[in-house]
Amino acid sequence: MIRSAAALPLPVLSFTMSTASFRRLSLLLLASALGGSTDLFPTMLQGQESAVPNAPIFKNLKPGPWGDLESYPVFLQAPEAALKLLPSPSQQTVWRFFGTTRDEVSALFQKFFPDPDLYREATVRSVWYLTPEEVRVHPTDRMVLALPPLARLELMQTLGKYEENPFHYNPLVIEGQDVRAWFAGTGLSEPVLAAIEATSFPFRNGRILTEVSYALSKVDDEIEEANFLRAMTRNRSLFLRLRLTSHDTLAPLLDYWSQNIRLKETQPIMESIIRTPGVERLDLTHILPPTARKYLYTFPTTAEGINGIFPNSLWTSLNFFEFSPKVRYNSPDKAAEQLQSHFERVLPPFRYGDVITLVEPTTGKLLHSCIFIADNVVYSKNNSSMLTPWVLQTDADMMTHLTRITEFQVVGWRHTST
Amino acid sequence: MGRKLFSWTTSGLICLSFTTSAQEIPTIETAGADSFTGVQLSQPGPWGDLEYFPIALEPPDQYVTASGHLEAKLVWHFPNKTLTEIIDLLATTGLQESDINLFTGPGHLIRTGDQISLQPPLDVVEGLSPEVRSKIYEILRQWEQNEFYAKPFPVFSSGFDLMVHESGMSPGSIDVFKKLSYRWGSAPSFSDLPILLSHAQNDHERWRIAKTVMRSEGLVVRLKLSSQSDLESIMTYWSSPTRRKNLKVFAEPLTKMPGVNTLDIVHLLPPTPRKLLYTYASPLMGIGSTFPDCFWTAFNFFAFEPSNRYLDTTSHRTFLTDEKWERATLPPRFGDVIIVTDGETGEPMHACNFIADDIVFTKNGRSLLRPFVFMKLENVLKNYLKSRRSEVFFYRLKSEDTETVE
Repeated sequence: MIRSAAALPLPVLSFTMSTASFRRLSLLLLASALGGSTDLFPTMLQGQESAVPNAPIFKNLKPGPWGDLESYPVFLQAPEAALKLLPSPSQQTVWRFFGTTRDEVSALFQKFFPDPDLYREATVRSVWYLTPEEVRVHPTDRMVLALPPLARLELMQTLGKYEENPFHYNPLVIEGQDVRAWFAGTGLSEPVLAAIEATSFPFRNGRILTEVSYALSKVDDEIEEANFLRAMTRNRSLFLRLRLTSHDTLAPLLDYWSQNIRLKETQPIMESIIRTPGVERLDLTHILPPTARKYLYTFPTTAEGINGIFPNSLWTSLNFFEFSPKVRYNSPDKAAEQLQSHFERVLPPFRYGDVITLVEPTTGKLLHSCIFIADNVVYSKNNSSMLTPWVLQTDADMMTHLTRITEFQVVGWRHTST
Repeated sequence: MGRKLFSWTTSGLICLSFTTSAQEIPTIETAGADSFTGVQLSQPGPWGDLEYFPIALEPPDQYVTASGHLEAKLVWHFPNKTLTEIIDLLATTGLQESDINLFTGPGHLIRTGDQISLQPPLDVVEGLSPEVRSKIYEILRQWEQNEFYAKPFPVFSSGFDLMVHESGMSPGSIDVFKKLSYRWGSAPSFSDLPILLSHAQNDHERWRIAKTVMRSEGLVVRLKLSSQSDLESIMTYWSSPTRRKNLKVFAEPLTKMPGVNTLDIVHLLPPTPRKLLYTYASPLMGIGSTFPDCFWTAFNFFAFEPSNRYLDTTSHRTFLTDEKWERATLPPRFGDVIIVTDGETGEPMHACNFIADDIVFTKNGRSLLRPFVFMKLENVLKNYLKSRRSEVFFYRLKSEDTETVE
């Protein structure tokens, strides 16, 4: 187990994310607590990126030892075979509160619905089921629509502790603020789009939809329902291309990208690009190690879960340089053991192949991990779901997906063989 | 030969026959500086518009060290031949009597038990005419103990200059390399690593010579996309039974993005070839001393986890008649297995996968020094069409297997 934050011998980077936007908080934390001295997640300080399906943006990453990298967004959607496995969610909204009392839920609603009419609707006219284990509420449409953004966030954090609330536990993430742009071309009707716009709320680098049942209740037919489910699996990732124009600049690039164990030499490939007239960019996929390349931009299949566990972020990070992936890295305990025995702690600036872990501040428990690629781009699988692909994405986009992580410390690890 | 292969217009099962002459030009033609031809275009087809260019691949350092080639000596083995028989064999090559006497004389003839091998002087062999060397090598390659002759290093079909570009070899060594290269059949080849290493000016150049000679050529292939691209039908062509992403959604933004008009087709490959492309097989992939070869590579194209059943060298015929594969009908499709057989014996000699136009995915040999690459089929076949008659068959994953979509 990774040691607790208090016992860590090296400084760590702490983040707290509550109701305010992650970006603003990060800015404050970085500016005050860290004095801007770290290069970790540097572009959190930059402007909002608005890459969306119908308005793709081509941009250059910040210059660094990784060279001249261009990025552009690509969009991933689960293959039909995976969608067939996805059950249609209920169109009835249900909020399930565990380990609490009716009075406590009523008090929460009083905070959420200061309007007396709405509060009465929430506590009198909506349907409640009470058992010793839970308070189950079927809110009215008016309640669902009336929730202010901060209340939606608090409700997500309350209900999202329990998998029984599937879309508070794993909400639908819209990467960007423009709902209509994100769902462009998906075949969703105006009422559905309006419902998503009305019930989603800003969160970190994008928007979150927890009230999926309400939006689903607006679909016209089974075809639109299928389109909705398909659209739910949409993810944004990045293509990266390395510009290679001169032999003179190759040495530092080779030093940066030639990490750990590889089964090919990067230099002749890069030189081939430089040599070939009319070609000056190399798809970064060719530099990634074999296993990472195999999984990048894909969704898991049932075959991956044949051992009973689907790959998660720890599996993804610790298998990055492994030619044959090891199932045991799915376990936080085994992953921590591996980090302690084969990696050393490192501080920013991180370099290609470093494992970036997010740990729980007080216990040191591993919450998430990813691989540092360059600038603000990481290689990540954001949870173990079959509907979550392996992606290259900005750290900000990754954090938008990690809705259940609110306080964490960042600890970097580098394989000792490097 | 190339265009003849790709006349897909007739219907029926695909079987192409080739007859090659015994020996062609003994030296390779000089490739000039203009061999860097840049990006070339494929024939348009259901795969869309492809562009490609050659790249050089070098084995990892530890493979070069482990190969032992850096310490290789020039030794000619003649298993089970008497000295008289060896002298007679050498005499048929046009080698001068004085050279035969030198090669079989004191200091150059080695007896190990009742076996005889020769260690001819490097400078004399280097000075032999291409015709004589070619004939000697033809004799030597019948015994696998003569590794460099039985399985010579392939010289790039796409150009000698490309092979030695930024190699770290001195101009003099490059000249020797070019001079000693020869054609085996129609395949540019090289067997004289010990001679070439003797020209190294220092240990660094010796290392660079070894790595350069072990280079392999491959192609980077890109799909050209524009707002006019018929993405639906193009992505249908690239579909595979182990597809794990929605290709249309994946590629569509690229058609709208100024400055981004190509998609590297590594992203369109099934998981296993995507993982392996441009890499060298890991020792961990083998069983015992048996490592992945062309058959393992070709038959695992669509498998998410490769099956080591295909390492079994005695089962190649079985693979073709088992439950998974059937003879393909025209036109060839993405991932079809191409089998090259010896026309006389029917024995499969090579397998690779059809990608598009005349481009295939291949691993040319079991050696860990041979990477997984895209190549033009024409250049692959140069290494295998060496018997009097060869045949090429196409096999396709049966439709019931293609429906087992993950």
